[in-house]
Amino acid sequence: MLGIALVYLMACAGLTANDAVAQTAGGNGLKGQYYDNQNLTAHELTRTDPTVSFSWGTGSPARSIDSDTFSARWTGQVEAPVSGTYTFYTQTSDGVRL
Amino acid sequence: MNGESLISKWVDQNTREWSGRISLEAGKRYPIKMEYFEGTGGAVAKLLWSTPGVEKRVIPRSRLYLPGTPPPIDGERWSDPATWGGELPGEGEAVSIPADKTVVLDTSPPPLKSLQIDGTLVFDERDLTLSADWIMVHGKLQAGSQETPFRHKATISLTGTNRDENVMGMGPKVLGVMGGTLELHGERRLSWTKLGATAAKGSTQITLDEAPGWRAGDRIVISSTDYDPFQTDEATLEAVSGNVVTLDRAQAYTHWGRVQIFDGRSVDERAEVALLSRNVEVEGEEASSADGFGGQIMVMEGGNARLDGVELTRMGQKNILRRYPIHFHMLGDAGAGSYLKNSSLHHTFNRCVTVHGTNRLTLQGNVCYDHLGHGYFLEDGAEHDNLITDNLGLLTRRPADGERLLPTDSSPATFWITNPDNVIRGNVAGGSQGMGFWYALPEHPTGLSANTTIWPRRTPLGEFSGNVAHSNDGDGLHVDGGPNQTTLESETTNYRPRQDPAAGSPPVVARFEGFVGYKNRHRAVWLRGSDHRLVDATLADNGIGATFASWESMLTDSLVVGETANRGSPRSWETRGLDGRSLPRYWDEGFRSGATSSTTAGWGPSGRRSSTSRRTPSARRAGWATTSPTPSASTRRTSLQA
Repeated sequence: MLGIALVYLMACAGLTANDAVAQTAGGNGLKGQYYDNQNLTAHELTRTDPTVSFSWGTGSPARSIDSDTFSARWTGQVEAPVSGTYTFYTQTSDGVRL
Repeated sequence: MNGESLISKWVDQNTREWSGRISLEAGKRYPIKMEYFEGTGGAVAKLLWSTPGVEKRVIPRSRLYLPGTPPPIDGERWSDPATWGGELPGEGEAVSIPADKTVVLDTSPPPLKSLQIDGTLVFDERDLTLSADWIMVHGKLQAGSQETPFRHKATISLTGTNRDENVMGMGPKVLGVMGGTLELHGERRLSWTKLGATAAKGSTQITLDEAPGWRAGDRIVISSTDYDPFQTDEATLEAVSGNVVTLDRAQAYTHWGRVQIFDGRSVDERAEVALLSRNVEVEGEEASSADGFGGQIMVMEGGNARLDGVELTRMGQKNILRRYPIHFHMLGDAGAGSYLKNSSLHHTFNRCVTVHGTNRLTLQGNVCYDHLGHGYFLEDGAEHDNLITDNLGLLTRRPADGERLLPTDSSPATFWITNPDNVIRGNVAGGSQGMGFWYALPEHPTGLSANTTIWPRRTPLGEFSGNVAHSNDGDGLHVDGGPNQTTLESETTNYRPRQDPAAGSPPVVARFEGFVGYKNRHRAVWLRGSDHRLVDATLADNGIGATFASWESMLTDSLVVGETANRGSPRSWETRGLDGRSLPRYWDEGFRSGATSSTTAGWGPSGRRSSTSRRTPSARRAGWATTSPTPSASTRRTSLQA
């Protein structure tokens, strides 16, 4: 009964399952471009990264990329949950620009 | 972050933390870019944030968005009955959205009688069709934005059938923008490119100059590369692999696709290949084709229309004044707030793009294919500082007797330019039953822009550079024959630019730069007036290369080729010559001429083709060097016939 009532309420409000998804905070990650050299020129692959939180150790992001001397660029948009002054931190080995 | 650098430590370092601060507003999305390199040793890359109330943590996926993700739309849903006070609009209803309301179009409504938008209507990111006899925008109608183009399929279909309906003075079957804003931004597609190899008649596969990113199901058109503007081929793509595309039908014509070299200079007669499909579309409903009574977009009274990546088809109303596929009407300098880019306008019934009493508008990267009468149309002669770049026009048709809005539509121009003070750069006029580019200058602006202080025939040339005209029945570039002030009939027109267009001011030179004209049946260039320079021109395979009916004018740094290897597919009436061809016209072997720093090549065989107009050049005024035996004929008319 409860389930039927809920469906009924959603129908009255003109909501669809799609809308419910759209209305929850839902990001889709950043675009990650990877390069097989140190200066962002030898483009190797592009993928979507859900976050930037990598510890590759002595490994590499992909088989086609050497474990040393690679570089990456992440682009996209960031949405603030509340207004205010934010501190952004990078933790990297080695170089970084934000 | 939002264009600001927070951290810049582009050095080798063991895992280290750096930080930077920035103020952000809740719910807004800011562009972010992080760059990283690994030298040697362990590799670590992390991005975190904190703010009062949010402890330091890796920025979660829920707050990160891929480039191009559209912002959330804030508004009431069309599909919600509460938006409409309890009941959804039904078929045939006249709907209006009041000024204080924003509605998100999240469903395809039943066909409406009409839609008046005083508030805002925004297309949700999904496949949608909006159908109405007419739509009037006083507020805002939007699908996609410049930053985040629409990604699904949006169709606005205009369905009016009552020719007497006049919606607020803008006629029937209109998408009108009166003081409001129209924002239509479709996916960025390659608008047009060129062949990378000659495509033979009968083939179903063509090679392009570049990988176009087009897809199976897309519609394209291939331009003529012969004298006949009708030698176009339309097709739907079945497959795309790199720069090779497979068509759903065999081509009816051969299209040239190879750059040729003469005296170290290239002659590029490769066919243009244009994409007709777009994912955002404004159309007259299918029945429009029967009688040429299509839809129309009209922008006036301070309205703005920004269209990028949009398809307009079955638009314009045949032989009805003011009812064009898209019409920027008397916007003055406020034209700067509007543009039409990377769009396709095809199978239309009354011109293509009308710029009327509007300045500073941008028309860029568009394709006009198959239209009636003048195509890109600067209406009155007062229009100035418009930026008209990288557009393609092809299959400009002559309207039938009795269906011409202007007398000059009997020789329609793909680009009809009534004031020289505009930027015309990188465009292609690729097949007209009349002219390619026609500087048709009235003495003073006509119509609603009538103003006796403006002198188009004496106004300096804004810019004409890098344009191409081919496969035109008339002239590729024609500077003459402006409209008579009262009858609007074409009259002999001298274009004599002056520093200050007021009488008596010293002359200035008009430089027509980098023009390419080929396979123009009548001629590539006709100039009348004074102080013209045809600079860095490439003229090949034309009935006649160039005629200077102008004083103090010359051809400079140019290449004129009689015939190239692009033999084309002559129609039967063109095959009268002894070698099976009648064009290019007969060339007198005794005639050798050049202009300053210019070269000639590829002259046709002597005495084997009939000629109706043999002219010899005069060196006296036009700066020609000639070894012609008898420079007679006209003293001021110089014709370089190829």
